[in-house]
Amino acid sequence: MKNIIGLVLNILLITGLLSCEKYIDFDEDATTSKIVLNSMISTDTTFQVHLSRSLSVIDAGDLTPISNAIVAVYNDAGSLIETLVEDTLGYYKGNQLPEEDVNYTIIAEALGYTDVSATCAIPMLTTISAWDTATINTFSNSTQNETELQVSLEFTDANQTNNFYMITVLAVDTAWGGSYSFPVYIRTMDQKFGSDYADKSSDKLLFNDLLFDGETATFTLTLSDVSYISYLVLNLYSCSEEHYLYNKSYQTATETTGDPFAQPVQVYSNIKNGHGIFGGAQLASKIIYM
Amino acid sequence: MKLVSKLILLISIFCVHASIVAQTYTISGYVEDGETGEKLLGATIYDSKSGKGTTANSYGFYSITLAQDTVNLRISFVGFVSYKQTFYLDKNTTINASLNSSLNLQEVEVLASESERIEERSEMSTIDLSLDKVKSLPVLLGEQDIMKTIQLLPGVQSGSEGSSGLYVRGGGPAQNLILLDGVPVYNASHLFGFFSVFNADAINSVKLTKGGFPAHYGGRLSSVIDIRMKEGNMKEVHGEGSIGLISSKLMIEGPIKKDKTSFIISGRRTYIDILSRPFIKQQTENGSYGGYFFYDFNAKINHKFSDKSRLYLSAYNGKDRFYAVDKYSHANSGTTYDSESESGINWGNTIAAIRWNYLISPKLFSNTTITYSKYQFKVGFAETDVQTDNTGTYTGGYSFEYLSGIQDFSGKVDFDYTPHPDHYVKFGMGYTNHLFTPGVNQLTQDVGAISVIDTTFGSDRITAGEFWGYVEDDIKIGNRIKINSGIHFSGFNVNGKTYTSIQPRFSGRYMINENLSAKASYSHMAQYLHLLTNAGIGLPTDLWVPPTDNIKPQFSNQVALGVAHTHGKLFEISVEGYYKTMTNLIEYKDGASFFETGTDWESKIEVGNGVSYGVELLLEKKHGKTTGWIGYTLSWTNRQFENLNFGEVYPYRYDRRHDIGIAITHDINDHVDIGVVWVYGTGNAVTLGTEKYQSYDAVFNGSYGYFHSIESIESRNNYRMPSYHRLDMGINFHKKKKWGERTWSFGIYNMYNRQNPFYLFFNSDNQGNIRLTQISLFPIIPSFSYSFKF
Repeated sequence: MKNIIGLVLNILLITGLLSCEKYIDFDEDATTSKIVLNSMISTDTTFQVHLSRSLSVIDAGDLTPISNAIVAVYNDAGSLIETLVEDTLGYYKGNQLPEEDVNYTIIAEALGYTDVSATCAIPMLTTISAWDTATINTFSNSTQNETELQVSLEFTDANQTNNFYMITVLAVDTAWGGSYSFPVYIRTMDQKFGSDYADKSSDKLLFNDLLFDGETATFTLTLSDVSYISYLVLNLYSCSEEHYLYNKSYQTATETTGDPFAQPVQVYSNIKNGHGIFGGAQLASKIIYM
Repeated sequence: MKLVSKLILLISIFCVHASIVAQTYTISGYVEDGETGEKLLGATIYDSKSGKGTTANSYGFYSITLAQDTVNLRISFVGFVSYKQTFYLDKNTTINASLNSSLNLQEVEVLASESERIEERSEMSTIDLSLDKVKSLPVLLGEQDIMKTIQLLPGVQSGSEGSSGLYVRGGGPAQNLILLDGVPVYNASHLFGFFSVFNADAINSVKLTKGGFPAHYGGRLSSVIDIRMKEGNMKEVHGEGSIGLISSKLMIEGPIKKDKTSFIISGRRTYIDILSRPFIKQQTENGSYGGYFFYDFNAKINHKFSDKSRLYLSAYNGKDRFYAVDKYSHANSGTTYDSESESGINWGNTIAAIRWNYLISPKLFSNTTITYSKYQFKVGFAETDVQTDNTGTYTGGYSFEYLSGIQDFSGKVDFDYTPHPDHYVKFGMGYTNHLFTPGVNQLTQDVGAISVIDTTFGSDRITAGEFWGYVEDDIKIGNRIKINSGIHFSGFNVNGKTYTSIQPRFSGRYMINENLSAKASYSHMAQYLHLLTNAGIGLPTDLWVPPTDNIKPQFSNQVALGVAHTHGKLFEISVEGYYKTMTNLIEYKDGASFFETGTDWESKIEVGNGVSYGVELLLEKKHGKTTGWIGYTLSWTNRQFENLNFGEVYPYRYDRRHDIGIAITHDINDHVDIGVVWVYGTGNAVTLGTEKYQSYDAVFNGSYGYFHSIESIESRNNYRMPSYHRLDMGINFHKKKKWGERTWSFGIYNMYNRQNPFYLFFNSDNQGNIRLTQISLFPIIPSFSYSFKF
C-alpha cells in the first residue's frame, strides 16, 4: 500500500514539477480573530470554560488565551445562574453545579471581539447494567507476552429521544507504587456502533442510538495491550448532541490529518459568532480488576 | 327503392372518401455523401408541395408518407448540394440520395433549409457539433479533442484545468451518457482528463443533448453525448493522419467490396515514454526506467447485404499506463542480491458492438444491437528478489493489485416508424448485464515456488441487470406546433431487489413567426449507476457502483423554456432557462479516503440532493468564411446532504456563476484558416480551512503537538478560486499535393500566459510566512503538428 501511495504521489509530484506555483492574496478580512470557547459540563463538576482567540491560518501568531472577559451562564428561563471568574489565564470557573436536562446558555464578551454564545443541556445518565470480560488471545512478541481482552457491556437506551454515547477505557498501572493511567485502544466489529470502527482501533467510540433505540443492548469490545495492568476503568458517557458531533468530527479530523487523499473534515462547533464547543455529558464507570 | 338508392349513394361516397384518404405512399431510402458513401445523419427531406418533411435517422435512413400527388422532393444537408426531384407519387418509392459537397458554392446557396433551422426543430437544449470545427480550433498541445470543444458550449463546463470531464447544467461527469455507436463509454479520458479517448478523424457526428431528452435516451441524468463513428469509405481507400508534439495518429478507410463492404481503422499513441527512456536509463545506475503512454484503437466494418439489410461491426480499445521499473543489485561477502520491482497504474476501455439494420417495410426501420463495454482501473506493484550464494539461488517476491471497473453485456432493438408525415414514432427495448468491481485488492507473496499468501479482499464483485423500454412520437400539429413526447420505462435488478422508474418526456416548439419560436421541455430521468469521485485528486480512481438498500438510484426533473431565432439567415440565436433538481446524489464522507483498504465503499459515502438553475445564451454562425459561436451561461448549482456540512446547503464544487465560451474560425483563403478560442469561468468552489483555534483536548486534556489546533472549515466548498480565463489561437496551412493534402498547424495555448488556478493550499514561503499558494498547470504552450489526407 505504501508503494502504491508512493507511486501515486510520484505521479502527482511529476505533475507538480511541470506546474507553476505562485502566492495569491488571501482575504484576511474574512478571518478576523474570534473568541474560541471550549467547555464541557457535567453534573459533578462546576462550570468551567476556557477562552482563547482564533487566528487566520496564515497568521503565525500564537493561539493565546483571552483574559478579562465576562463569561456568564444563564438557564433556559433566561435567568443568570452565575458569572464565571478567571482562575488561571484563560480559564473561567464557577461555583454552581449544573443540573441534568436544563438548557444552559453561556455568553462570553471580551474587548475587541464579537460576543459569542452557545447553548446545551446535560443529558440523562445511562448506567452500565451489566458487564463481563473474557481473555481471547494471549501471544508473545519478542520481549513479553501480550493479552487481548474482550469486554461486553450492557445498558438500556432511553426511548423517544435521540441519545448519544461515548465509550472509553482507561488502563491503570499501580505496580510501582504510584498510579499511571493511559487510554486503551478499542477494536470492535459490533454493528451497533455503525461502520465507522469496523476496520480500526480507537481510543474512544462515539455512537448514537439509531440501531438500538429504546432497547437494552450489549456491546462487545476488544482491548489490546492490557497485560501487566492493575485495573481498567470502563467509561460510558451519555453525551449531548453537541458533545457527540464535536468529538466525532474531531476524531475524524485527527485521524486523517496528513492524508492527501482524504476528504476535508469540518469539526463541529455550536459557538455562535465564534469557535469551539459547549457540550454536556454524564459518566458511568465500572472498574475491571485484572 | 329510394332508400336503397340513398344507401348505395352513401356507401359510394364513403368508398370514394375512404379511397381518397387511403391513397398515400411512402418514399424511403438512405442519404449519403456521394464521394465517400458515409451516411448523412439528420439530413432533411422535404416536399414543398405538401409542406411535409422529415429527417434521416442515426443510420441515414428516412421515410416519409405522402398523399398520391405530385411531389417536389428536396433532400438536403448542410455543406452539400441539395438533391431535388419532382415526380408523381403513385406507389411506394425508394430514393437513395447521394449528395455532393458544395465547397465551391456561394455562401447563400448552402444555407439551411427551413426544416433544419433552429427555430423549426422541436428539440431544445441540443447541439450538433461540427467535426470541422473540432479539427480547426486551437487546442492543448495540438491534440484535437471532441470533449474539449463541447466544453466551449453554454451549459457545459470543464472541471479542473485541462480536464475533459463535462459538468452539464450542474451535474457531475458521471451523469453524462457518452455513447460511441450506441455503446456507453465509462471513462472517456486520457492522462487525468487532459485528453479524451475519441479520435476526431474516425468520428462522423457528435450530438450533445442537455435537456428535453427524447424518450429513447435514458440511464443518466444530465446529458447525452451521442458519438457516431464513420462507416468507412465505400468508394475508395482514403486516409488521414497527423504527427504532433506528443502523439501521432492514423486513420485508413476504404471499401473491402465497393458499395458493399467498407472498413475504417484508426489508431493513436503517445510516444513521450519511448523518447525519454534512453535518457532515463542513462541517468540510473542499474537501467531503471519509467514512463507514461496512452493509445486508442478504433475499427469498424460496414456491410450492405441489400437495400433492406446492413450489418456493422465496431470496436474500440484504449489504455493509459504509468509504469516504473526499478532495479537494484549489490554483493556482500560472496552473496549477491538482485531486486527488480515494477509498479504501474493503468486504466482503459474496451468496447465492441454488432448492429444490424433491417427495413421491415418502407415505414418501419429496425436496428438490433449487441454490445460489450468494459472499463478497468488497476494499480499494481510487484517485486522479485533473488539471492545467490555458494549454497544456491533463492527467489521470493510479492505483488499487490487494486482493481476496479465495470463490464457490460447489452442487447437492444429500436424501431423507427413513420406512419404519417406528421408523426415520427420511435420505440424499442433493451437489457444490460452489469458486472461491478468496486475495489478489489489482490495480494500474493511467494517464497521460491511456494505461494505463502494469495488472497483477495475488499468490495465484492456485484452482478446486476438493467432493462428499459420506450415509445415516443414527434408530432407536427398545424404549421406552428411541433412536439416530441414519450415515455421511457426502466428498471434495475441487483442483490435481489428491483428498482423501476417511469420517466415522462416532453419537448415542444411554437412558431411565433417564421424566424422565431418559443420552446419548452420537461424530462424526468433516472440513473441507477453511481460514480464515486474523489475530487481531491485528479487520478482516474473513480468507482462505478450499483444502487443498494442504502444508496438508491438517482433521479432528476428538469424543465426548460427558451426562444430560438434565425437572424438574417446567417445567425442562430437561442436563449434558454432551466431548472433542474437531482435526488440521491452521492459524495464521499468527511475524512473518507479512496485508498482505505478493507473498507466497503458503501460506508464511505453520504446521500443527498442537488439543485441547478440558470440561463444560457448561444449565438452561432454556421456558414461563410467566418463561423463559430459565442456562448454565455449564468447559473447556480448547490448541494444539500443531511450528514455533510451539518445539513446546510453548500455550493457544488463546479458552481460557476458566469461561464463564457467564444470559438471562431476564419478562412483567410482556400489555403489558410485561423481559429480563436477564449474562455472565461468564475472560479471553482473549493474547501479551504481559513482559521485555526485551540481544541478542547488541547486546553483541558493536555493534548499537544500535531493535534493542538483545529483548522476551521466554515462550509464545504467555502472558498472561490480565482477566475479562469484563457486565449488560444491557431493557424492552419493547407496545401494540395498529388497524393492528397497536407496541413501544417501551429497553435498557442494560453496566449497571454494566464496562470489559471488548478489547486490551492497553504504553504510557507522563504521567510517562513504562511501564504495561500496556487498551483497552475499550463502556461503559454506553443504547438505544431503535421497532418495529411490521401
